[in-house]
Amino acid sequence: MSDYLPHEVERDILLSLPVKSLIRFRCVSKSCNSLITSSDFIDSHLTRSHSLPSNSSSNSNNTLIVRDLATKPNVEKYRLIHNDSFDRIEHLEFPLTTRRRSRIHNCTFIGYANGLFCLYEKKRFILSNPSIRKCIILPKHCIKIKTDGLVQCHSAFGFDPRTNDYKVVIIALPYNPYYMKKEPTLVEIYSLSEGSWKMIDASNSFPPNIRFDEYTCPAASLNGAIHFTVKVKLNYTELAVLSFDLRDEVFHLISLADITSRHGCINASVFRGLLSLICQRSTPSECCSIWVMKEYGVVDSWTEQFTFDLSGGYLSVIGLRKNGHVLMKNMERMLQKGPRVIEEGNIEPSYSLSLYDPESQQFKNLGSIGKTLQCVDNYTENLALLHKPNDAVSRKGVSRKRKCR
Amino acid sequence: MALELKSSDNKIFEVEELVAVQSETIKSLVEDGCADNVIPLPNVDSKTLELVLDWCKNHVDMKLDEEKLKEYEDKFIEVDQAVLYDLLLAANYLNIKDLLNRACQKVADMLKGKTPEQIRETLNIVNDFSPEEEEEIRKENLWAFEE
Repeated sequence: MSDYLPHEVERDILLSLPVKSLIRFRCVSKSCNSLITSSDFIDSHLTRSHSLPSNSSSNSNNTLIVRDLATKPNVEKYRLIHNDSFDRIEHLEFPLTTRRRSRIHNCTFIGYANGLFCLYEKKRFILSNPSIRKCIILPKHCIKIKTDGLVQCHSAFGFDPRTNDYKVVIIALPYNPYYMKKEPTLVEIYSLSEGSWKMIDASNSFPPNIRFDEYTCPAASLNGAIHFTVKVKLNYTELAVLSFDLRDEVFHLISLADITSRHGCINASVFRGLLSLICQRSTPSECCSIWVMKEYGVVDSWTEQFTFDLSGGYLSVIGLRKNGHVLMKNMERMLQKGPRVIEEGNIEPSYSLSLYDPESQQFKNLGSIGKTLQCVDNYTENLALLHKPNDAVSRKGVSRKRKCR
Repeated sequence: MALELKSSDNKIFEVEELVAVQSETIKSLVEDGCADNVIPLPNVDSKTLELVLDWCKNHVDMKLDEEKLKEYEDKFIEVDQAVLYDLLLAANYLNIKDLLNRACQKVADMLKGKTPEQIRETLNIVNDFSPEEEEEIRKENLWAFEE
């Protein structure tokens, strides 16, 4: 490449650059382009981003990313909120697909990891990376995603740092009354590295007496496994955290001990690198508790971090920020322009974001976020998907029958 | 214990072992028992070596004071491009991780907003893309070329 800098030094310099510069520098030379689009570089760049100190200039430590529901089809819309005063908001908009006849609109949000969004619409999964303004539509999967009297399906998205791979998981949990033949619990897994789906029978590791909770939040990705809350139906129903290891492809059930009896709504999350629970209850009063599992997998290590009052009209706790603050969404009313009259049917619901700082025990209203937001999370710059072709299945007019193993 | 380092222009620097072993390269030599005599560093001139040793010494002295160290590092890295490149090459050759990271970050910050053409000039890289090939990449990523 360059005449006077050794290759490894050049690589180190490139690794310190933000994504936008790197995309631009693909044009510098062929070897520069190969380097930037190589899997090895993409993985190293993410690792480097994660380990930057909080005072670094290219750090996006407290940036939030909002995915908005688009008003037109085939468009991905995001907002980057760079600081808490809401005065530096970057709008991103880019096409979801280049396929002309596609009309993908109103995707369901499946999950988020390291800056990548996993979406689902019209029976296809989509991975979107706003950092590089690119989406890929995944190839067709076999499991018919539905929930009825015979089966419950649940999808999740996560990252495995051991293999630097992103995976989409579909779990089909059959309803097995004792008098009927036992159906297997199937899991279909998509690996971004492999670029394909595979089906496994996970009945051996899937714990008994589990039902999915339809109100559970998207799974939390941690330590190479996805985690989400499920219902355990024994003599009484209690909640537990189900995990699925993305590399070893086995399920584990993490008991919540007596946390479950005190809280009605529990969701799994990640807080400072630890598995955590966002627990909400409304009696005796509306409040929220954050618990962390100090030692991963050890039930005795569930520790309450802090509890705070939610009765100030906060709609829901969205998640935990990198700096330890709790992010919340609340409803705010937006009046019509003109005379400030509240009339039936003229009120447009809109949201605002707030945060709770457990150290100062203060709430802070961050600002209005509008009515189109679908989800909010901590932003990470990522080059993933850069070296993937845009659309998974190509030639039109050719129908392919996929064999499901 | 003191070590003796010789720069490319034959200047000898006497340094405490504790300071010198911030360089993994020198550390290996010490561990292998090859550091009894003067250690020649043909790839580093005296001007650069002096700066590098200053960095190493301060990292030993200010180890416990994070704020003071950060202040020192920020001031240290404010050098002109030629000196920065010399520091970069020296940090790489001597394998001093934190100096290398800091210098790389500084160069990256300088390169961040440049156009591909400016990068080629700065790093002395030849453009081996055809105009069509370059245009293809640009077209696919217009957003990266706007400001």
